[in-house]
Amino acid sequence: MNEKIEWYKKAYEVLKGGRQNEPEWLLLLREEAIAAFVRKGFPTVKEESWRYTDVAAIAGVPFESDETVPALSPETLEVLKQKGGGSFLFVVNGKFSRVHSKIAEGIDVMDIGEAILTRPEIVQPYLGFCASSAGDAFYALNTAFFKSGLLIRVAENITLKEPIRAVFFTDASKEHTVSHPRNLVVMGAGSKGVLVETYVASNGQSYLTNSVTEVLLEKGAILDHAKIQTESVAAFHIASTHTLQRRASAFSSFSLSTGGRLARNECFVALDDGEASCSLNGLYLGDREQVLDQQTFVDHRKPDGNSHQLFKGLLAGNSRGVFSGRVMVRQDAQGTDAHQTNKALLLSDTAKVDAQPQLEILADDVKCSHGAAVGQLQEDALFYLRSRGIGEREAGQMLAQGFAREVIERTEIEFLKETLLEIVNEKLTRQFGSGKE
Amino acid sequence: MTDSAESFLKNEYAYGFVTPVDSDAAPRGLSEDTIRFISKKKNEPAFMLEWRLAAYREWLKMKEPTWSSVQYPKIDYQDMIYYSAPKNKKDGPKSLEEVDAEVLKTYAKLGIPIEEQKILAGVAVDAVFDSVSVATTYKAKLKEYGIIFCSFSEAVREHPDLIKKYLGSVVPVKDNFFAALNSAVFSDGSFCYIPKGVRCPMELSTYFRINAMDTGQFERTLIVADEGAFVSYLEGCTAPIRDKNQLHAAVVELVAHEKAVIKYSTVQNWYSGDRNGKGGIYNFVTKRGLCQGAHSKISWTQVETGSSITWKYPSCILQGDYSTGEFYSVAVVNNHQQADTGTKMIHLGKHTKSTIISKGISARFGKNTYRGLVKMVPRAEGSRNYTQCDSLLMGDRCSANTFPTLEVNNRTSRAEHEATTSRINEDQLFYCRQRGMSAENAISMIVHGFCKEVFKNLPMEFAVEAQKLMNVSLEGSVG
Repeated sequence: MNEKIEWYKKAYEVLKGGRQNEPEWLLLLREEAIAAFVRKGFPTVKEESWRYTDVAAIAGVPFESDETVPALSPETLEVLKQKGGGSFLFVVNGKFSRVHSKIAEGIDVMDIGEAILTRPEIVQPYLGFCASSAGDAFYALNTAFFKSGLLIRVAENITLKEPIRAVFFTDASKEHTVSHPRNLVVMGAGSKGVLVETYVASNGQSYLTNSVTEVLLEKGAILDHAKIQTESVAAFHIASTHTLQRRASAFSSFSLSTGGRLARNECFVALDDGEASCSLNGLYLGDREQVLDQQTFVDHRKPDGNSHQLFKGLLAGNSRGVFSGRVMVRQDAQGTDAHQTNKALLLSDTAKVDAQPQLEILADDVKCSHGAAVGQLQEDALFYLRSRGIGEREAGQMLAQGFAREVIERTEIEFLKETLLEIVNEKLTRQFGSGKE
Repeated sequence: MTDSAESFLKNEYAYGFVTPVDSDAAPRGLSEDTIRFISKKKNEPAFMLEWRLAAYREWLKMKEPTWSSVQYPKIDYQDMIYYSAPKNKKDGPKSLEEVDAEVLKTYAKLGIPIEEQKILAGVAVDAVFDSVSVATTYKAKLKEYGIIFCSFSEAVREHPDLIKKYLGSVVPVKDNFFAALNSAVFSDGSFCYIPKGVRCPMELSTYFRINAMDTGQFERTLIVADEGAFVSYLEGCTAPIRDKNQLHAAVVELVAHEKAVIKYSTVQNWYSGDRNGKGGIYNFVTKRGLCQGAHSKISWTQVETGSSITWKYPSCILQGDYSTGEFYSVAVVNNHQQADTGTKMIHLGKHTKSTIISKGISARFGKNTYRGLVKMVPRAEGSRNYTQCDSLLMGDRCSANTFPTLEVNNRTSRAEHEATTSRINEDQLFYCRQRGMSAENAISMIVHGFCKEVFKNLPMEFAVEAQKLMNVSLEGSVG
């Protein structure tokens, strides 16, 4: 066992002392998790699913939880709240802050740590239930260490009129802090809602966000989900979303990844019953030394499901964009329709792109396809714009914007589109304006 | 699955027979002594024995890989015979008349009568029967052009300089577990050298055949095309029915110098096991070509219908600027066959191009996997790749996997990958049926259409054979 792993084990033992009041089942879950982590340690590039993303920088430093809730200026809060009404849920340094939050009618929101102690019966059936990557080191760390996070429940047949916006804010004033938010979203049968997760930080030191979100969609439930990751340049961000879908439920997700020094966004969807559908979309924009890694896994377990995926990347500077998308169609999943597309543009000589689309088909009555393409801005399109008097950089930016817009247009969440375009433009302006295009 | 389709399936392997020939075999098991035995049997020079022993020592340090999608019982490498040769009365046959009559009969059954081929096809055949070459034709004609085409053992004795220079230069000893094993114990194979500026006047061809019981076959093929040379090489194989699985771990190395072109075509129809997956050949092969010079080209075409397990990735290292790599493949798995195949295109030179067309067909319990890598290093400016992988599924118990990897590390290169998986289009089937075609003919026609892009890259005589093979392999698997 190396010393860093030893360090996490010790930190776990210390925490364990204060966890006497936690229910037996959770302690068991945590024990298993830490044991799995100690056994396997942090992943290395030798592991197939971590081949292009080296987490040595995370593994080399012990990250400590920071319990303190920083004083927030009202202006900061206003900025974070953004536009739009509905529920606003604020999680700071991994801890749900009820005082800063606003919860609308029709949804039931609790701190997951609190819910475990006061109403374990509503957490127990779901926690760890949707997860499909129990063997993963970061998932295990989250399970072993999480204290807080959001428990969101939408009752049967409720249609939420306003979106739920959850902001995960890290105050990175201390070096090497970590947060392990753990979220659980249960959408009752026939319910409908919109959830937007945003990850931001006050600029500063290096920190690690290691979040896990589990989503359960009961029969006929519909959830439009978006995850916006704009962490600071010194951040490490590892996040996984695990969705389990019942009959005829629909899940659509959009993820934007622009921040972080190393960011990995995992999205696992299991279509656990017939006629379920999902649509996963993502956009990643890298520059400088960023490593942005997108992982998806759609597991078609039952008949007549369909899934569509579109992921696009724009890579500048010395950045690296990774996409690995796995689609599995099991023997029972006849009548499946599964499609996946990944496109990436290289904007500099030193950027790198790695793509690994994977199809595993065990049924025969299926229509599946995947496509991946890596290239650069089109010469003749650039020429066209330039011949009309548009500067080289501006033309490049226009084309890159158009490239990104296709994915943004896919999201079902109308009010978000403008915000997304703004974030994308800001990032592109930096890339094309810095003269390093 | 319809009944007519079911009956279509029951096609037995037509080439199952055992020719009784006296074998001169090495003792069971693998050790340095076995390697010395093989080397001595083949009258090899000292450098070759040293090379083999070094490979063996590397192999001992290596572990059998487990990352592929294929499943098979653990192989006991000590329970195999590593060398067997038909007994030679003297120094080997000097003409066809001296060749073992039993051997000749075997070829006749396979439909490759050597005499006829000499006259008709204009193909020089270096026939490998088990591990030693027993007949070579058209040698004199090739000699006129300065082309060397002979068995590997002969090349080791006659052309040690070329062997020393090129052996292991594309597939190093340490490359992988099976390549190391092959390097240690390879029995025989073919060697081919095309001198500068020569266009080989005929298709070169080797027929492989595994015969003696429990003999792993470890072929070694090395083809070198010097500047501006052209060669088209055919490799085809069949094997008799055996109950115990047989391991075949071949290594093929191709070297193309400046402006040289090598076209390598394979039709593989080894025994694939019976309907219940019993028996069949394990085909674990390392094939790799090096486009060393500028404007060179290597093209792999393969039709894989046999073997219980096929595990190979014919690859191209595109080192020379403006070099080209191509990979065309049809892999058919029926019954309990498994295939994990694909290619690697490593773009090192500037403006290098690669094309990958892979067609997988899975029927009954067959498992088909395409696994590929396209890599463009920062130096490989202006490189281009196009990949297309399609899978056809027949029956609800078969599977098809597609695992491509793209790594692009410069901004002037482009790589594209497309893959689709589906079953036979009902509309197409209906259209054919409605015009009075039987279900079997309709399926056969659609499948041929599906594979056409690959077949058109095969040399004439192979294309015909491949079409026939497809029918035999797939008959009755669709409904």
